Amino acid sequence: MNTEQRDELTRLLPPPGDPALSAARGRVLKDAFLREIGEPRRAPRRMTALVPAAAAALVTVIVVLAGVALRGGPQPMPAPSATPPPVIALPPVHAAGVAARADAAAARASLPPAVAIRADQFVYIRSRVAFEQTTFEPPPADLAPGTAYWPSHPVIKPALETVRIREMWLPQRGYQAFVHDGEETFDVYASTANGTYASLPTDPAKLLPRIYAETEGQGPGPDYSAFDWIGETMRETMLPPRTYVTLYRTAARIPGVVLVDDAVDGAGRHGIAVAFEHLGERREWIFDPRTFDYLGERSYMVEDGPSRPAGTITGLTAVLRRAVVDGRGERPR
Amino acid sequence: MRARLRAGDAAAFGRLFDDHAGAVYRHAVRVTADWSTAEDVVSLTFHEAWRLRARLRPDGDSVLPWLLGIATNVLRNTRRAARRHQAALARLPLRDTVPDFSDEVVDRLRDAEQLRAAAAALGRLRRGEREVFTLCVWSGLDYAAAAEALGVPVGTVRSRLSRARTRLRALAETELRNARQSAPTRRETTR
Repeated sequence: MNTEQRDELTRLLPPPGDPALSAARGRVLKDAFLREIGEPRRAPRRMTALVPAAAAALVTVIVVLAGVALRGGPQPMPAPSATPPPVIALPPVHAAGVAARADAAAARASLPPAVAIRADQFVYIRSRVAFEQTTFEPPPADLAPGTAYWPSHPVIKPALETVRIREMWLPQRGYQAFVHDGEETFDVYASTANGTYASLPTDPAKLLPRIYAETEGQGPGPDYSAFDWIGETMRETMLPPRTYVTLYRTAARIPGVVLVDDAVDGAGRHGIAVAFEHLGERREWIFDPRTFDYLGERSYMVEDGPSRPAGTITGLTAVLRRAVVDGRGERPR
Repeated sequence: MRARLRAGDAAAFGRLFDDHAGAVYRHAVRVTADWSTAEDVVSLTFHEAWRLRARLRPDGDSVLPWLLGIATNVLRNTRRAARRHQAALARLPLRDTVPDFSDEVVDRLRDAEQLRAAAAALGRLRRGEREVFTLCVWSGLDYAAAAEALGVPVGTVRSRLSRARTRLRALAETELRNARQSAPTRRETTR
């Protein structure tokens, strides 16, 4: 990002100020921190002796991991290409009696058998993903630095980002996930291990308050954040089949959520969806109508904007494969 | 420095605090618009850095992206981090009250207003976009450093920032339209 781009972005929000930690307060916090790490309470002396050994062990691990070879299975799709965003006809939605309608659909589910996952295994999720990207005309050159820039005719050229294949190896327990995204391969700190989700309540009345509590203060609002949490939970994980049904029914209880009878994911598969609108954009989490497997996500504009008509796709994903594997970087057969 | 941090050298962590606590604090104040929460975030971030020190990559330049990545995780779920380090937080000396210098009080009030406005505007972005915006625009990380901090590919940072810009532009347009409707004489001042 060059200076010009940063300046432009800076102008799009009110100035954030320059808050400084006072020297006195900084010293207090530092002393408290050093006291904590310097005196591990109840830690026997040998603990400190073990630290360098543990660190050395980790060096080895990291070196090995950096050399993780991708083995087995089909190769990711090469040569991704950028496409202009498709425009779809807005699908009809059900906005009334949403929870009851969702419960009725869920009652017809025919769930596949649950898969056992050992604590030392990884779940492998292969997805096809594409999100919107835009380009802008630069602000006028004579604009004084720090001036707010609200162009009267912003030039926004929408395009659907490169469609690419993304593979995730998420540990059933632990933090070290591994991702192969397009042409990039990298480690990810997984704040939630896959196994964590197995213990979610199956009753929406119990789950929804928990989601609100966990997302409190995040995002543009509680309902948006709760809906977002449900999407995040399904996106690159492998949940017990019953949990997808629970998440579908729970989403239907979030104020503002609507149901879509015929949604199409990034692989062209048809499913049913829960959807939520924010700032003229609707996001759908799409499920298989029979197994309730999470298929993917579709988002699009529902209002005509200055540069994009209603129906313009802003994001499209599809989960192509979910499987259990024994190691990072290992693909299922 | 990285080797010493990874090995759990307390002096290196002291140095880390001296070098970067200010940047972590500034980031946290801007995101939360709250000075005392930001202090907790600083404490939690350094405690998390200590706990996760073995995960610091052995090679690289500044460790600030790593630290801001931890701060971002702390900010995502302050309560989870707080639960983990509850004992340490409880032992923190209480925050002093603001000294009674009128200039400073006035500054604080003005700053508070400014911070709240910025944080409110920021709150209209999605979490991912917000994180990339604060790291790249306000904290000045480049794409690669932000990608390292967030554990996402560089392309994702770029596209999230692009989405943030789209959204902020759209909001600015709407505000401009509304301002024109409600106060036509102030048209020029909004530019």
